[in-house]
Amino acid sequence: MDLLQRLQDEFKEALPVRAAAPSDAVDGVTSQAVAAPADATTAQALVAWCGREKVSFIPRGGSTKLEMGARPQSCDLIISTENLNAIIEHDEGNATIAAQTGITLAALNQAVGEQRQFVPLEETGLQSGATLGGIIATNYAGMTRLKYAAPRDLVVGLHAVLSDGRLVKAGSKVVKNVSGYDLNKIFIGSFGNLGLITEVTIRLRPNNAASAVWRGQFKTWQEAIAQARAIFEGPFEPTALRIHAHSATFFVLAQFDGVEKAVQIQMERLPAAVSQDDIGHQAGADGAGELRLRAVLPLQSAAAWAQQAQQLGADQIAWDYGLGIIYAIYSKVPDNAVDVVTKLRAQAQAEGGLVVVERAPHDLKTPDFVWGAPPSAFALMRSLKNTFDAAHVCAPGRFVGGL
Amino acid sequence: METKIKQARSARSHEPRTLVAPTPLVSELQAIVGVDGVIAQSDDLMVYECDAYVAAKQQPKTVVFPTTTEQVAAVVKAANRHQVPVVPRGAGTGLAGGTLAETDSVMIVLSRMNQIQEIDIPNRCALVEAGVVNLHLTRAVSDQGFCYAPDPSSQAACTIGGNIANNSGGPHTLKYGVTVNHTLGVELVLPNGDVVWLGGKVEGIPGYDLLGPCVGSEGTFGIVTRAWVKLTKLPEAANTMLAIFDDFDASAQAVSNIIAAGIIPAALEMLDDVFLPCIEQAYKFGFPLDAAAILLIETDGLKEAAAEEAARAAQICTESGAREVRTAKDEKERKHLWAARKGAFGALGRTSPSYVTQDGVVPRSRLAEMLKEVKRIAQEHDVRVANVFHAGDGNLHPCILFDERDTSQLPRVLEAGEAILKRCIDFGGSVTGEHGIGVEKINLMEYAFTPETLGAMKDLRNVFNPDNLFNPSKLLPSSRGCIEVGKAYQNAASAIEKGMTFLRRGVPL
Repeated sequence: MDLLQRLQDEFKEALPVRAAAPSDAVDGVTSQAVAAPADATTAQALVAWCGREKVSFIPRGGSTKLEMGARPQSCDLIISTENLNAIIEHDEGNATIAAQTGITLAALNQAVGEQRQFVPLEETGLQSGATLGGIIATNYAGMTRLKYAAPRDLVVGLHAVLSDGRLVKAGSKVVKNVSGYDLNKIFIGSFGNLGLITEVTIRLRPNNAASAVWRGQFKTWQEAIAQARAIFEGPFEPTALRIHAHSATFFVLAQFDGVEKAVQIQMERLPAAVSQDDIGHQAGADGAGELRLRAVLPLQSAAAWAQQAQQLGADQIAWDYGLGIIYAIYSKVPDNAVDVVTKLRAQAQAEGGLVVVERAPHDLKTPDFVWGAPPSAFALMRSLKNTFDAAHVCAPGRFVGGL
Repeated sequence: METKIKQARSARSHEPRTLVAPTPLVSELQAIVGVDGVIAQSDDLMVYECDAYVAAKQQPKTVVFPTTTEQVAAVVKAANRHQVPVVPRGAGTGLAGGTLAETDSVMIVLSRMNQIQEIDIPNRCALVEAGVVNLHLTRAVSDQGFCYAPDPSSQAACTIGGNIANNSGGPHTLKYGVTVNHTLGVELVLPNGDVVWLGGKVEGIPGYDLLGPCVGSEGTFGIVTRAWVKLTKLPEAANTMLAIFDDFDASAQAVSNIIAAGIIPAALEMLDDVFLPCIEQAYKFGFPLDAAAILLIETDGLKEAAAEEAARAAQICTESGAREVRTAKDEKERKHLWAARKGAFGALGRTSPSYVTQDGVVPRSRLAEMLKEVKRIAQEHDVRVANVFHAGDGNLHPCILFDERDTSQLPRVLEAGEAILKRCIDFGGSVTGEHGIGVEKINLMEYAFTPETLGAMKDLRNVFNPDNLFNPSKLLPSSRGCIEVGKAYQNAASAIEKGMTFLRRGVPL
């Protein structure tokens, strides 16, 4: 019996389910069905059923980051969170919101915006429609991470369902909590590999009274780096600080938020800006390219790495100065893509850094090509996977070392 | 009671030390760390029978002071061969009994691993050994305009390794985050003696975030021997204010109003009228002795931003009923204020012979409501409570005062404490914001978490510590939940009988 029929027989009308289309494929791996549970109880029952029946699944939100992660070993079922989109509780006074994971970031921000608050998360530069769950599952942070931190530091509670049917309720809604192990962390950035995250509680920030973007244009790496460094080390508190290199043109983008006077003074301390374009659109490099690498490097090694990536054919470099994060973007996949990645990864690792491939042709996306060789704690990670997903049905093969 | 202790000590001192032959395990440990790196004599071990949670005491069998990661690993392997539990310890300032020894255990004290191995200012991080004292790291980088942000009140004594074990906080974590937000990577000696790194010098190392739960795992995942930690740029300016309230509830409401208004102060602390006379006597700052509560508010950042946020916070305090808002006029006065705040617990001895402190957290929106509950619970149990807390985080430290000479008080004290923490959970909060579970709050874990979630925690512990020989009976309740509760009370009661003083010294928070 095919999977669609089995799901219909098992869950009847409680579970919206349809046959998968070719466009539902993940990294070219096609699935048989797409299920979109509309409540947490059904989601839990579905994941438990997948565990019992050995049906592999990949959770899917807005699909904006589905290109990240290694090519799945198998994906019988897509679990779409599109119907899990309720706001559970917006506690304005506590500056937190709890919501189901299928809600979009835009919808969340709309809900809290009325109370002059916002969710300090970002979509990738080029695509909209990212969901809370997708951002958390990938621990995705854009350039405002410099001030607002990454999901890892913002999530205070979450619910996840495991393939053995358990519902894990990590953390709570308070902003400071050391009771027991912080189970939030192992699910954040786990790429759906340990279970399905159904609900998240996250910290909010108050709206900024003022906001401004400074943009300077430079002719050389040296000039651009000197400017970024002056902002990073000087009397500034940037929300974001990025060097954007497009062949031989270099921009430095700095975003300032906060009280009006402070924003104004920081802008005045800088030379005349090139333009005041919205930094988000200007630097939408995070989501771009046919081959895209994300490196993390100590500061002193970053410039050399960025230049090497350019020499090896990258059209664009986006360097989040102060975070040590560099995106190398190739608008076309070079013929020697594997060599390029191998070289750049070796250079980063020699300096204590790392490279993750965020986007690449499907056939290249082995776990080691995407993530690099497994880290020293891999035996612990495998043990965790075997404990939390003994059935090995949660996004199998997507993660480090083929977990 | 004093006499009893003296008698006990003199009895022990008659034991002829030199006649005790080292056990095979002690010999092995001495071979690893040297003779002066091992303590195995009962009277020397007394120092290590408890941390700052003194209600339960147990001497370890042996205490070891390794100086390298390799020595730690070798000690762990030796303990494994002899199948004895291992208990890690830093400076022993923990408040929840997280370093309480097990019978027959080897205690590994990290105090001799106290080197700052690398300071990397451009990358804003440092590599430190676990025994480095928190404040020493800040002192080492302050000339260059940096600090190590987590600042527990015990920062002059507590170690980075201990901070990591407990995911410690402090007043300035409101804006800057707790230890987990400042830990980039740890070198961990696993319970089987293997050494691994979780995380590293840079963020984002692929794989599950095992570093996250390792921070705050209270020594149950292994022993952290070294860590890469973040350094934080000191703010250009800081404004510190004292808002004085005649009405306690109004001060709590002011906290909620400040958070709701979208201000993120660097610190937002509250002290009540029981604390005020004590710290005034101790620190002579000029605190108002007739006030019902004070808020200590600090804003920082760029000069203009810090000033504007301070003005707004002051206005909200006034609107919420503050009778006066004072601003620290210079850095000296600011430091004086903070010294008084961080010494608050130590000053409490002036009004009460003993106290137990709690560490509950509630949503900031329910702070005023929770403080009323604390009062109600105190009345119901006929105990006095002094309040000091990290109000901006919703993190309460109600101190229940008592006199251990009156043994009838203790059950009421413990019951009141438990009632307060249960209310914190009912309000959507937590039983501990920064002190940890240890042995103290282990019986509340089943109230706070579902069996499935506790099961997942146990699974996670087993990934690291499958034989549960590493700091066993901490953090997670065993299957004998009810017995554990009974034991906690028994331990506390027997501590009283022995004439031990409850948390009398300057206790950090």
